[in-house]
Amino acid sequence: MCVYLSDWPIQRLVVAQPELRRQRVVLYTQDARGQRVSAISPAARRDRVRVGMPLSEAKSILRDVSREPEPRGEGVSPRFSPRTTQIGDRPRRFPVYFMPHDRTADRTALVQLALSCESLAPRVGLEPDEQPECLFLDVAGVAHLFGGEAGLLAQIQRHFQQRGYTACAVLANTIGAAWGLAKFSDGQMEFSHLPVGALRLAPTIVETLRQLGVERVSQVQQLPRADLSSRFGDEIHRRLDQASGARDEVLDWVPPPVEFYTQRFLDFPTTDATTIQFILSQLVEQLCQQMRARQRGGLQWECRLYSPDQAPRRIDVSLFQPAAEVRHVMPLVRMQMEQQELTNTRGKSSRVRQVFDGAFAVHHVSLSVTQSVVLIDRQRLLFDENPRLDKQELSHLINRLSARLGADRVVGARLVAEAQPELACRLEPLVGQATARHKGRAVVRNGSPLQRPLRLHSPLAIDVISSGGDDSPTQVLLEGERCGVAGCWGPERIETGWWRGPSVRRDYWRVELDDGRWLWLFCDLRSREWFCQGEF
Amino acid sequence: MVAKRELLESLREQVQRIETAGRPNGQFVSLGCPALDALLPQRGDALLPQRGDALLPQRGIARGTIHEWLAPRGGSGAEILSLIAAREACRDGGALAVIDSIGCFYPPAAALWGIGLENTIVIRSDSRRDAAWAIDQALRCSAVAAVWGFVDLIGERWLRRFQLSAEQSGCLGLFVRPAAEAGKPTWSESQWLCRGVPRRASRNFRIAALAKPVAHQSKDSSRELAAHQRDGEDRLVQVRLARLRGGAAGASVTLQIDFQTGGVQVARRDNEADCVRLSERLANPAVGRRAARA
Repeated sequence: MCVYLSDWPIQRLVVAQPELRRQRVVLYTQDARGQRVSAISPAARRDRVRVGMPLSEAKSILRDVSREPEPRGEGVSPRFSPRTTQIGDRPRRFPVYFMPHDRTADRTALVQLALSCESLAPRVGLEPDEQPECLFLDVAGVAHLFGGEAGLLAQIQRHFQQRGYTACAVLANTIGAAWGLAKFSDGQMEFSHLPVGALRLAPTIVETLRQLGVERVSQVQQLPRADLSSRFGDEIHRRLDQASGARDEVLDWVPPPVEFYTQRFLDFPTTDATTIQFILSQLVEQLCQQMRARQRGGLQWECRLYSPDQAPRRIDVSLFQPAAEVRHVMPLVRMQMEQQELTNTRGKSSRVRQVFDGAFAVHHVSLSVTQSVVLIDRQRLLFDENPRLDKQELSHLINRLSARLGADRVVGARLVAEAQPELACRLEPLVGQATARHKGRAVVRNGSPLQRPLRLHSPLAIDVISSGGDDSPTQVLLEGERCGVAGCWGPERIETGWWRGPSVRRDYWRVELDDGRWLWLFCDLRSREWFCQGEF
Repeated sequence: MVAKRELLESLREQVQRIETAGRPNGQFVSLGCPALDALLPQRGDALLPQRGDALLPQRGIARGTIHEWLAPRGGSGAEILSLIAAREACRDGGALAVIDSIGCFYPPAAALWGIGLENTIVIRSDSRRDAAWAIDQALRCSAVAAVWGFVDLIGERWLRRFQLSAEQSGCLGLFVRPAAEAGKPTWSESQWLCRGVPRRASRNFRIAALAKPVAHQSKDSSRELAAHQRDGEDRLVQVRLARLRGGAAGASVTLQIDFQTGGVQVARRDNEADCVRLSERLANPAVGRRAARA
């Protein structure tokens, strides 16, 4: 069975950020020819934006549609660029989102989605493509569990709909036929009537065949095989054979990531949180024993609580350092149970306190360690050990903080060789990363400590009165208050980021106000507007 | 009368002993500036008579305490001075926990001030309650040398919890808070009120220097100009010890933060006058010649 998730990069983003639904979203990538559009939402497609066109062209098309100039402060790396348009006499506001295309995240999310299908098929694989959009489910011999093939298809549709995805599932005898029908069927269930693209051929071959007037699979099947081989090699033969089943095709199935797994079925469902925690502590103890026996410690723990009449609840615990002790893991599991992360109806991620309520009856508990590393025991000194150097204590602190606040809220900073101030640093979660913490060379930056502000915020548009030949500010209108400038030093010109789009061109000034405050202002050289970006 | 004074001294010592009983023994951290350390009482035999470090009196802030830097608004210099103290606290290898509730902490600047980012944890929270909980957890951890951050509105009870947590672990709490918090009940060991001091003359000096073509300046005057230009970029911050537990508050000092090195020292009183004189001299060489003849 093939499940086709059309516009997968867009779908993934929409599920993660529901505010993007039905909006104009354009994803772009950087290649040797510059920034190109790599994925678009249906709304953007209606505006004649196409995949492969330069990003600047897409921007100009959408700008024409909006009939409004670019918003102020471009190049500050906003997540989106809202514009307004006029429809009739009534002004209407619609946003246009330009985002870099994260293919790794696409693949990772698709793998996660494939793993979620474990209850539907024993083996799930990804489309062997750089940018996969299809999942292949091996459903041989399982249809009767769902009341037949129709029931299986309905169940699969429900499975993806519940997660917010729009999917087209097709059951066929071969991988090739299922793929072609899922992507190109459009109501047509006869494979030979599909376009040539349904054969998974290279775009150049499809284009050549189209120029020759061959547009349907049936037309390709009628062509003499010897002629096809001499012109296109073995590619067309192989794909035709794979679609018909004459040639076997092997897929790389997504391996189950679980390294250590245990579960417990309850005789009767229970809503008692203490009982559930007790069962969980026993399961944690079992896994800890298994891991200690293999000298390993868990970094990522995943607990699932199943209820007969509700969707399962999942508790993830990520650790800064591997642990194989109940006393280290269980407090974090308890904390997570009390602090479940929910998504509110507006779609914005928010943390809502939810005590583990008694309405959720649990009848099955599973616990797995999805990432483990070698556990290194260190002999502690009895005397004269500096407590500040106790990394174990530090890791417990990081684990606790991450469990309650979220992994993305407890971060480490890494300097990046970037001239643009807001991009000169990268904040990375400290937990759940076995190798990333030590990856890459550290950037060392030298200079005066007073060159950069300790507080850096999003550029705030301000009014500045400047004088002199060097445009140095003399008065600043900040939050409605007029402040005199007692001293200023600059300009420090920063021109960079041309490869990210419109280049950033700014003149930075360190400004001392009359009340003794030091601010970091810059003048955008393109718009000649002033912004306040930091405080020293 | 003498008996009453002795009684008061005795009671003060007893209170001091009770209040500091839970703290790590004899560990003090410099504020990174001798002038600020000098405002604090010397930790010698007068205060801690039975401790082992009585023979090594030190100045600075004791580990296991919390301190507040108050500033009327952002950019007044409180962040810099408190971060310098945090840097000193981390010299023994402990980690630095940065509480960044509003997401504006800029690590590259902290790195320029000598903060080791590889040993720094940045904690961001969505609510004040989460921030307070995170501060408390970090202060309890013995592997953390200092907890530093912007803490605006927080209750007295939380501050008491912070103090007890810091005493337990020997961690140092250094918080930047609004100046409006001065005078309110607190469990902090000290409160430092910071205010930036503007140097109007620096701008006049800079404009005057630019007004004169570089080609017409002599080699010596160029060197002098460069030195004074650097001096003109130094930052002045006035610091007042607004509160000190068990000690006298009210002392004030104006500090000069060196632009090149970041070193902090007491500001020269004649700094501004020097700048004006030099700018006049460069703008009008006749003034300089007259001054030299005089």
